[in-house]
Amino acid sequence: MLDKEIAYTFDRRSALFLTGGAVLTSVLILRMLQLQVFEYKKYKQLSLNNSSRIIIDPSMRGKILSSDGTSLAKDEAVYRAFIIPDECDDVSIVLKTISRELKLTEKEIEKILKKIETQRRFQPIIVRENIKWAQLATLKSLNLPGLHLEPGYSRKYPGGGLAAHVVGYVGTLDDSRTNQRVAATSPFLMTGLSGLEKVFNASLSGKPGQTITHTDAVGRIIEGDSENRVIAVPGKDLQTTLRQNVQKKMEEALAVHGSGCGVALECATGKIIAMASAPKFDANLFRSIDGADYIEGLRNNKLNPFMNKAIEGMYPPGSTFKIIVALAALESGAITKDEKIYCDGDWEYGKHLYHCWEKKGHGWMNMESALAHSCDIYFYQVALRIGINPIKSMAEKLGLGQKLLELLPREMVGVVPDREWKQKNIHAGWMHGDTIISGIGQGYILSNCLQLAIMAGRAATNREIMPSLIDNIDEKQDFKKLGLNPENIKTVMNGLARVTQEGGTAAGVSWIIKNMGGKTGTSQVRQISMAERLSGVKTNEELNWEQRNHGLFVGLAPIDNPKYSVAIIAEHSGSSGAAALAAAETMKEALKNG
Amino acid sequence: MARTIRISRAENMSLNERFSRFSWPLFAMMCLILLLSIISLYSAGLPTCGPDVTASCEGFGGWHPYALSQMAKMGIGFVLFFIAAFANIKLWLKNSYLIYFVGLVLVVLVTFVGHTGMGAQRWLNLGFFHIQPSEFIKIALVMALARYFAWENSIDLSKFKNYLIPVAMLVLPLGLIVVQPDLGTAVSLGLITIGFFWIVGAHRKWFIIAGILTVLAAPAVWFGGLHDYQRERVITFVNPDHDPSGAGYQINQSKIAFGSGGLVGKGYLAGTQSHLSFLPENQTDFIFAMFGEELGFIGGFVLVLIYSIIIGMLFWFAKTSKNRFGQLLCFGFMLNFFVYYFINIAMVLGLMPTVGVPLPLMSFGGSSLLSLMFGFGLVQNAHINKDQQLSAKGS
Repeated sequence: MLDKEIAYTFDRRSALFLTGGAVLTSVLILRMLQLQVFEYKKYKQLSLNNSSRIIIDPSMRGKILSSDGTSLAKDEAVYRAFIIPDECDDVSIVLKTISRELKLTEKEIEKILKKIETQRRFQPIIVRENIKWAQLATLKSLNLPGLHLEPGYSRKYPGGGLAAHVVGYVGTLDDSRTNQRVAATSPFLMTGLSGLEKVFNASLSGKPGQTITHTDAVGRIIEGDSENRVIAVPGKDLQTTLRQNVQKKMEEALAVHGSGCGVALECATGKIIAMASAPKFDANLFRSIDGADYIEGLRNNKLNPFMNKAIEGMYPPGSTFKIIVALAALESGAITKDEKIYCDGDWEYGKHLYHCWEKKGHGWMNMESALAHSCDIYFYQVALRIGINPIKSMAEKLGLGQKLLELLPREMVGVVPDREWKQKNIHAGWMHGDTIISGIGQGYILSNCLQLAIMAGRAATNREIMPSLIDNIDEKQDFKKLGLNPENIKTVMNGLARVTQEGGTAAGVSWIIKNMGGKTGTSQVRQISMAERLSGVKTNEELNWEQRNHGLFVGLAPIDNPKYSVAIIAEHSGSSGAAALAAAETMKEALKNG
Repeated sequence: MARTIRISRAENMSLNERFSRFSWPLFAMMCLILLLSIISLYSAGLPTCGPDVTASCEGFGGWHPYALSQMAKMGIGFVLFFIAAFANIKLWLKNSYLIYFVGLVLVVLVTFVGHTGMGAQRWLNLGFFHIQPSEFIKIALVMALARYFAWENSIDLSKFKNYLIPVAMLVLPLGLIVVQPDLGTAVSLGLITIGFFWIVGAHRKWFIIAGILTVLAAPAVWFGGLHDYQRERVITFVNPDHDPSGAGYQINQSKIAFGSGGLVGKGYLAGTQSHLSFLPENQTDFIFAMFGEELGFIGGFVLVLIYSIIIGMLFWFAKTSKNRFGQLLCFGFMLNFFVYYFINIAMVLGLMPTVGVPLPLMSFGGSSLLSLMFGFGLVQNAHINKDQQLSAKGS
């Protein structure tokens, strides 16, 4: 028990605390009453025209340039009209007053009014982004409360969003969520949300300035406080390696088929001259009055317009993988370029029957002709002869199974399987059949379009070239030698040259371009069962669209001394024809001048 | 003179018995404020618009970046709370000095290797977590002082030398915290210690002497001890229009936000001042301004009422405790809690200079929350053991 005296002291002295606490708490409550009840009107008024409003002056965002100096993204200085509903006496009257000058349609006014209902009354809403000088003068003379006219910048993507997936787009919200508070209240502050716009946001965006202004009772700006002005610093331009004309051609060619992707690059430097994904989007439309519907439409499009399929899409490389198998086999010495293997359309191994795409068979095939005709039987047997390990190491040497660009988000690694991989991921032992189908790029192998373009470029140059998208003039890359036997490379190149000649699997492209070599490929999207094969395999035309094979083409031009490599994937095109055509169009454009 | 701790029966109390003595009303009040905190931090948060949004976001409020994060910290806080509440009270009595010492080491560390924020060095980076040792030391000081004065029977309070240890307990962290500089914490620590001296029955003459010394030292502190920005704050406090865009900005904006809330407020998530960035730091020190703007006088009054009820309960715990350690623990925590919340609200209402003290259990931030929840656990423990003979006497 406590000492009586201690308890007494506690009681006596704590009385002071209780009294003090009660007094102090009352002070707080009285002060709250004073501010919120007695002086409410004063503070309400002050809050309405909060006298120190900070106006953000957006900085001019740097351009994103193609290698030939044309803009892929640029800021245009505009005057924009926006209204703050809270400051208007009647929003619809304000809109009606300015509608004639700004040529607002009834539908637009309706949309703006609807939007106002969904957001807070003090949030600005843009009425028009691009105001002409004559309009500006007239609007200013109207002096309407709640109508604001401010200079700013509008992001434009010339060419309807050329290289949209690479360039990306800007929006009003900072993804990093550090400046969201500012961003959310200042709809004119743009920040990169995707692609290069996002990756290089810091250097592109510069530093926005700000002016602290005083406003009158209805929120109109009286004067700028020059002492507290921070001048905006414009952003830096970004020089890419993309060639505008090649990019455009590739996109047009892909658009014909509708869904797919492509990469073209300079073999010696690894500079990406075109990278496209279809369908694409036009970021110019995002901020238009119908922007929300447009975006919604894109999001619901099952062809994934927002995905940069060139690096994010994973596909079995199909027969384009035969380039790797051929080099692996020749380097290992397990087969010479002249040794012949007979193809009669089927080949039985173990208890399994393997089929060539050509049912009636190719006859006797050597390395060059097997590449030219894409003979499956030949490559099944070659793969089995050398085993999976040399194939895997050649695939990795040529750029598969790794991130190459490491610049844009969501670049995929892909899969180059071997024994350990299968044990770990499929929990099953490696079978001979796995090696056999790897010979034609099926099974577990997955790659993206960029990897395939690099694969062709590395095979052609015998160097470990790496892709680049940003042009650093000072940075001269000297790529490591791969050390492959030049004779073997020559054999493969001869094979690739024959692919586009009479009798090759892509002979049709010679109508467009003469000196391109390459390799066709189709990759199965579904497994064909034995029962189905017996009852007659459905042709691709009979299948549902999503079940059709992807068509691929990997090309090099000019094939006798490759300057550019290209990889095209036409999703669910059934055969490789569409991809080969797109590759041909792209290469023709690339070789046009330079 | 060997000192031992004698605890009778305390060890024998079963967990069930402890539960039955646990104060559910105090627990409920604590949880109520935590709930209000989540509600407010949601309002201070930002709308989520999906990862790849291109259209501007509409409306305000969101789980990011504050509410969700704070809820996670509350989870840790509850663990600390229950440990503090249901561990054997002997553990806390025995280790009071050790905990104080750890707190002191952290304060020393932060002074020399801490991170700087808002012009003051207050953060210690633990790799995964930034902590603010000045928040922990507030609870640790209460524990150490309670432990010290629990020996009161053998301490002759009329002798000057017996004040040296508790004064040292205050001055060691205080000196470092003033250097950081963290005026808010320094004032809180000082007030807690003075309160302790008063309640244990120190003679009035000491208070008079200390008062005179303070008045004499004030000019020296003003010109030599305060940072420019702190002087600025005090000047601004006296005259907020002194520099309306600089130091006075916060006070003015805080008053405007709070005052414009009126009797019933502008409505949840509808505070214009807070959301339009006029009001800085509306998730931490100025959360009460946003609270008042959105929920008005009624909302603010209810919050103050809840705080007052908690203070009342803590006082009652202290008064009914039959052992000195528990009594002083509850009393010290009450002082700490009161000083905390009073300074913060007075600051938001423009009654005090801005000194950077969070609103207890409401403001965003982990260190303050965890320390307080640990403190609430301690007073629960003291309440559970209030009838125990928990004497720590010199023998």
